[in-house]
Amino acid sequence: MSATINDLAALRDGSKTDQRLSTPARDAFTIVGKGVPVKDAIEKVTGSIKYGVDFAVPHMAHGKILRSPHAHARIVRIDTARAEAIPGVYGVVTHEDAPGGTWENAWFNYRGRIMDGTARFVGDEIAAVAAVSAEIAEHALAAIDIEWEILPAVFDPHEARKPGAPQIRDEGNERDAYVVEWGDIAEGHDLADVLVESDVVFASQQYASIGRNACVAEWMNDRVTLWTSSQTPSELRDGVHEAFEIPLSKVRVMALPSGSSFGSWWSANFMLVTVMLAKKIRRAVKIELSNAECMGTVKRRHIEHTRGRMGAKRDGTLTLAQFDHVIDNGAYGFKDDVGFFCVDMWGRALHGDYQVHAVNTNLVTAGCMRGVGDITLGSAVERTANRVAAELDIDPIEFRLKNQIRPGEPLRMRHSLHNMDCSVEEYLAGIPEELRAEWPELFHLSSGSTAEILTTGAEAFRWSERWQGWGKPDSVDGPLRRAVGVGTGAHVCGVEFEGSSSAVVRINGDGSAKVHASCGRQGQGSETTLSQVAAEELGIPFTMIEIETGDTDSCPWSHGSLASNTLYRIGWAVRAAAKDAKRQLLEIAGREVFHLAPDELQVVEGVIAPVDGSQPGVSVEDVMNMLRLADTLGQTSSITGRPATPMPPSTAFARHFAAHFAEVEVDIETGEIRLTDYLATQDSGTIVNPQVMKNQVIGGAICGAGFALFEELHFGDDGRVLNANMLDYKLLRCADFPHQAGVIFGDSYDPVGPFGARGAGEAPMAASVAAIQAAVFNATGVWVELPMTPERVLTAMGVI
Amino acid sequence: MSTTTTEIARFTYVRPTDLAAAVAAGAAAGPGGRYWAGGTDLMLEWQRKQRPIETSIDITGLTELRGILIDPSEIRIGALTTLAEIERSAALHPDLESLAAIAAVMCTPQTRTLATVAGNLCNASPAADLAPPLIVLGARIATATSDGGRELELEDLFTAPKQTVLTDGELLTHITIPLSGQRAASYGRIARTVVDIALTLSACSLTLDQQGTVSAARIAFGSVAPTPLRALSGEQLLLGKTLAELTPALLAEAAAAAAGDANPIDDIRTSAAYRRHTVRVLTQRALAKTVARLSRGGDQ
Ligand SMILES: Cc1cc2nc3c(=O)[nH]c(=O)nc-3n(C[C@H](O)[C@H](O)[C@H](O)COP(=O)(O)OP(=O)(O)OC[C@H]3O[C@@H](n4cnc5c(N)ncnc54)[C@H](O)[C@@H]3O)c2cc1C
Repeated sequence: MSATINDLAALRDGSKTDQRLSTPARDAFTIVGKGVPVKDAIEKVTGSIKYGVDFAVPHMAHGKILRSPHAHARIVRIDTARAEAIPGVYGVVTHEDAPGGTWENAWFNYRGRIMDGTARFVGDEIAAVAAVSAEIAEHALAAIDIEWEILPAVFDPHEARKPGAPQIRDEGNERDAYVVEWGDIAEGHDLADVLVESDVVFASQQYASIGRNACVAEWMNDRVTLWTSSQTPSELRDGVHEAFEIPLSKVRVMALPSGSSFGSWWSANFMLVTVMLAKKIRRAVKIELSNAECMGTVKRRHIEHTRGRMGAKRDGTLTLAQFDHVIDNGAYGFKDDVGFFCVDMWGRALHGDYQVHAVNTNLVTAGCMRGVGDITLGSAVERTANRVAAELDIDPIEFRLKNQIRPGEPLRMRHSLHNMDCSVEEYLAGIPEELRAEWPELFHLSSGSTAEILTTGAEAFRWSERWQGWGKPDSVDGPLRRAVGVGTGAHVCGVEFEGSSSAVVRINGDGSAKVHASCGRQGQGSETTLSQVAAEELGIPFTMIEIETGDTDSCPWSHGSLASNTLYRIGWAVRAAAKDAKRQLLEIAGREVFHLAPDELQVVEGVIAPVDGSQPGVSVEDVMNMLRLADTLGQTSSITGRPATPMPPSTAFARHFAAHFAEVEVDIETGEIRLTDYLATQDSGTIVNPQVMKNQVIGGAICGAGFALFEELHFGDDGRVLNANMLDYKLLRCADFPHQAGVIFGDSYDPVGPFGARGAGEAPMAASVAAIQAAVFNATGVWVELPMTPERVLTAMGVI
Repeated sequence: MSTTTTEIARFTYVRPTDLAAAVAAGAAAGPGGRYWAGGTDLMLEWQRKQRPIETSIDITGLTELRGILIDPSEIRIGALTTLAEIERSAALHPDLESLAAIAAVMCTPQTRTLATVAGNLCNASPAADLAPPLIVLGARIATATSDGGRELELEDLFTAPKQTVLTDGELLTHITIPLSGQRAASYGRIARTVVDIALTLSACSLTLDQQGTVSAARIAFGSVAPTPLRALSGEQLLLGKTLAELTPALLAEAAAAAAGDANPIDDIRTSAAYRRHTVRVLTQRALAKTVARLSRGGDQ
């Protein structure tokens, strides 16, 4: 067993790229790789799990938020006297009560004060009331008198870029362009035998998480505790610290599971409004959002617009990828890029130039949603690449095998360099030798690619039989056209930009262990997979491992569950913490029990024994108890392990990949599209739990298919969201997706991630959009704009 | 803080145990009174404060308004018959087949167990799925009030979105489908996902007399006008024709004429142009299916 535990070291002896563990070693894992049921399955099906909306504390008040009816307006005067006089009202907060601090959601998904007297979108938080009941609080909102100065508003990002456009933020509307370039574009043009231009607009997708959210906040003197559903407990704690300008040690976030979230429930301003209200009335307050508030006032995916071109030689070599991409940040988003990992994916292009321009508008805040950048810019690049391949009459799989990144090749995205004031070499020279030894070659892909999954997927999908060529259906039955399509996606596996994710593993006196790792529980199964990682490393049975994910007082800082981060980066930290705890345990056992060096011992199924079998084993519990009960000097009652070093900077080497195969049936008279067959393949290194991973992959495919077919927020002329409800914001149901959809995993092994695993959650979305759009093209012969509603299909075909 | 004087949206709840008590309660409640059948539309209206409810009269206990009765001259569907019951009724009578098929794609299984036929009709949504297929079956409705009641053609029930000719306290008690001749009916419906209201819906029926000529033709649409709509223009072209004369070309012509009666709007669900186009396609397909059914019937 210890061989598997030391596999990382063994791997590093080999080459730094495309390291694979031979299958026998992977077979030796005891719990990693097993499809154990998710830890919270029973809690969920019996309803005992508590989400934000379910949570309450004694004697709490209920809050409601007054929201702006205007897209852009300044409060000239606000009078809360009538509201405060209503029986049952505890108090009202307005911008006059707001603390001075500017707070930020992870990666500038939000940046602003909690309230500052200006409304920047219809639905912006203006004031809040706390009362004995939510009904009274709501009633009192109408008794807040406001005199507004209406300001000019701008909703179109292109308009908002123009000089003289209404200014939404003090910092100005536009962020600095985010640029990735290599080679020489002019040369790329010259080399190209075919050149294809694209101009694609993407509507905004809503997270539309099935669960709503609520926040309970309670102050005890100058310390505050929050209970809310969040994927990013540590980031939320940071936000409260920033807004209220109080020490981090005085803020405790107790993050609850969110259920499906897709990025919606990181930190949200309504949570900080709750904290403000609780502070003012000196009593715990709960604010519970309605579905319309969840869908219309928190966040959404950016509206995006891609324009660009790709060129290739006759043999299919991409000579050029040049894209200009505009995103709208809405009112409080402050991002300058959308993490578009298609750039790396198609990074073999000889010359490249990608520019992202991020602009504020008076629409509800935009932020990262699952597959950020990849299902927009990424799918535009896939579509452009497909059109190049079509011009050259090259099979899409062949075209991808020729032009997509393989291990050891350069990564074009170099976020990390932006803030560096020296060369990479100089920087590396300053990193301690023992740390650097763990780092794969920076800015080169360390492992995995689309190559293997495209090949195995094509075979399983019978691609060569079914594919009839570009723009050609494989069957025609009256108005019904069937065709197949393939699409690919790549995404990071978490990023390091805001700090190193850490974790703590505690071995208890009874031989059980508790993991403390701050992350989300949005149905992605991290409570289970992280426990599997800890169990594998510790040698303690999985059933003896429990995990705390939400309490920032016991969990060290971590990014949380975003950017396909959890299993890779937090999993790395959990494994490192488990290793540290095990080292301490074996040191004690070696010294007190076996009189052997720690590396001569191993733990298997909760029993410590010499590797060579020279002495009988002793259970972890007995070792711990021996120390507690016996009259020894080496007393211990619990062992705490933590990572000794930060994780290698994985943005600079790790990606996960997806390749999806879709078959659609298009009714060319009504424009309806039916998904009739589907295969999703995924390269995420070691699959820690195949059930969990299957769920992630199919979930991503369905969410991507929703974006491809129906999902779209509509905005009124006044910037208001018109379909903040599940009736007119159409999500795909399970029955809209092929039941027999298959999933196949690649076989790569990551050199850094826990037991060879990488991230997983976002590439599947990107691949799905591209695959479905290509299949519709093959069925109809036209590229249909997203979402490909029946109406857009008929419009593209010139029928209406 | 024990008592408050704050106004909160509340309503009076009444649960009559027979029809007489129900209509008496309806009369007493006046304009603020609403019958509560499955509640699947009413509950949302109440939550969204779309229309005030002062008195909710829960009629779910009126067992006499449940169930389907079939006799030689008519099918009688009780007001409180649920969509799930309609869904399961296909085998009872050929005329129920098309209704059952449409009920099966409405709402969700959970909602179908609550939602009633009368609720779907009285809610008077332009997209009410049961209205067009019932209209093409020539359905009539019967109502009760504290001083009597009346019968009327279903197609005369609707006046505007969410509005009917029913007076305050008037209760729909049952729907009747008169039976005569050899009839077949079909429908076509376009929705975005498996759970959705129709973007467009077209239903049609053709009845053959003893001589095998079309003695009645009906076409009705959903979601293309402020109310469920009977498309008379298309029907004329089909009357008096034999099955052999109902060629694809004639059906296409009838469908195009029928589509001309549609008066759709642009909304966030789709455009008027899309609705106008697809209601024609759906009508043509429904007519073809109906003719095929009748031809099969003739062979037997
Ligand atoms: C998730 C969901 C999906 C849905 N999908 C569809 C769909 O696909 N197609 C569709 O057409 N509808 C759909 N609906 C709407 C709704 O379910 C149907 O219209 C249903 O048939 C309404 O019946 P009900 O018994 O629930 O009516 P209720 O909500 O009880 O009543 C609706 C209205 O009719 C009045 N009313 C009810 N019974 C009588 C009576 N006997 N006499 C006089 N007035 C009466 C009520 O006062 C009220 O104004 C959906 C609803 C939901 C929640």
